[in-house]
Amino acid sequence: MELSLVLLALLGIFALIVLLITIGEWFEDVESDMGSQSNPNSQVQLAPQVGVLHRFFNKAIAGEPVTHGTNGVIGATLFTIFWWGLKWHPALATAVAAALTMLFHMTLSTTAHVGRITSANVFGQPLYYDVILTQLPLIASHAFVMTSAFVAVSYLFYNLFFAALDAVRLGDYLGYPIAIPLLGLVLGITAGTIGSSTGDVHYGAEREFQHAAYGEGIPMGLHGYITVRAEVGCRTSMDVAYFCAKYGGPMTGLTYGTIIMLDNVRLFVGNVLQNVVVNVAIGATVIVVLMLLNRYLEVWARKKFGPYA
Amino acid sequence: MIDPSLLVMLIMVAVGGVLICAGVFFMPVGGAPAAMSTATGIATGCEMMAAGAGITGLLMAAALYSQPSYIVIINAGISSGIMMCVTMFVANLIVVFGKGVPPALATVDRDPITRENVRPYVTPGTVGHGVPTASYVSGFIGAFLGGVGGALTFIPVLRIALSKALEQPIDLFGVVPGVMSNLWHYHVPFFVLAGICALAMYFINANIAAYSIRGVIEGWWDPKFKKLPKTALACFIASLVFGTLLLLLFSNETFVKALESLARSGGVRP
Repeated sequence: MELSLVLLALLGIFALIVLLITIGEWFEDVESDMGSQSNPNSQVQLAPQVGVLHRFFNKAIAGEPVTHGTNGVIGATLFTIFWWGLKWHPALATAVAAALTMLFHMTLSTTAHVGRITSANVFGQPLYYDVILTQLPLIASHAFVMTSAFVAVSYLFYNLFFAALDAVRLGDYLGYPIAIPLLGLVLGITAGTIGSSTGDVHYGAEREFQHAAYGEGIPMGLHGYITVRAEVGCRTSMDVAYFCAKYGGPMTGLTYGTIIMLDNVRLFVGNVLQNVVVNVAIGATVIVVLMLLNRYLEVWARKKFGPYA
Repeated sequence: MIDPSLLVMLIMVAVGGVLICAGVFFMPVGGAPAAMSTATGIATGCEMMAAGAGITGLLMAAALYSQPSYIVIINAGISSGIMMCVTMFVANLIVVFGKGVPPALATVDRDPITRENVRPYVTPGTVGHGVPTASYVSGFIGAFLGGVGGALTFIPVLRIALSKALEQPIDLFGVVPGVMSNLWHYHVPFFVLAGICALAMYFINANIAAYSIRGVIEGWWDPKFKKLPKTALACFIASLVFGTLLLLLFSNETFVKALESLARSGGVRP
């Protein structure tokens, strides 16, 4: 096989990696919105203290990066045992490892939710049995998709580094020589960081305060007074997921996918041309373009929305 | 007698700690209020942002491990910068199109870079929202410094571990020689050791910086930025202690023998 064909095959695997990362991160954000996991959780916790009783799921016992780092490392360790130790097929090992991690995640979610809500019990917040029963399967299924995506990506990155196709070492172009459990940990931590930095703003600023005016930041005086009524009946975390899956979730997935793509494309091009200066030049260009795009967005938004006073 | 290259490693680790600390101060940390568009910055905490951005740099440092050190360091910084820039841009997209608010600063009347009057764009009752241009540039500088700081820990730990295991002379700055650049599965634990050490450095130093920042900081013009010198000194000392632990580890004969047997026997105990 020619070198160009090998590189084409490599790019195909790389496209799969970016796709998996994008989908995994999308589900990660929706899962964290559904469980009020990240910073918007402060309002869910504050609500009973200002007299607003709610039916939200609240499992924010740890920060998002730590939780998903833990999920990643548990999933990737189990995967390594099944794949490397017991010689299972990687696809089967990924599914079983993600399923076992999901059980761990369900346990954590339940204890965290029950602990958080009972701590708000002094303010009159009841612990609803049906909230746990209806939302836990959804949280579990999202965690399953997320963990399996990150475990699969860890496997692909690690194996790419040591794989050879027609005597061409793929590791010379892409992949990381880092053990799969550590890759699971670091991919999970980064996923949590991105999810909490980008997608959660859509939940915290918009969905949690839907009765506040669109086009204004949430003033301090409104903190705690979250929206607890839905289109029909009481709002639950399921309604949050339904809303955030339309904009916050996909944008978060896009963020992580873009980061992995841009970073590895510059590594790939630098390796193909065997020149690290190209590597640095592509990186610098990407950063300058992003800065200009951000400036354009800022000017556009200020012109479109106008001043407040 | 201590190996001089171990002392160089100690200095690199301590300088890396100071750079990570400075990086955290430059980042526009918004914390919980930013998630409600009540404060300027990115809606997450100091440690998580430093670690999240730094990890992207560490992965790049691992992929380019055989290149000369300065190239690895610059590339790690740029990778962290790309991660932070994409994240800040999408955070702005969500603030602008998801909530309908323009990015604005609150601690100053004029944007330190564009010199525009930003005060009218802040919603009354809030302290800014989104990531405006000055915070964006500050965030990039912070992520770059953080990435460089992490690579300054990753490179010496990896190179010393590999050199000791393969019984080769230690070279902390040049191109990694042929024998060492031919990796196989049983060389991976050395990368894991270096990766875990660098990850620990992020959490140690970002935590110390987080105590000074206490929640929210906008960038280099924020009044809290003045605390940087004292905090950097604290980080220098903490990183020096961490580096000393590494130095003791690499001076330990049993540990070095374990590394050697790992590289020789392919990870299987004889």
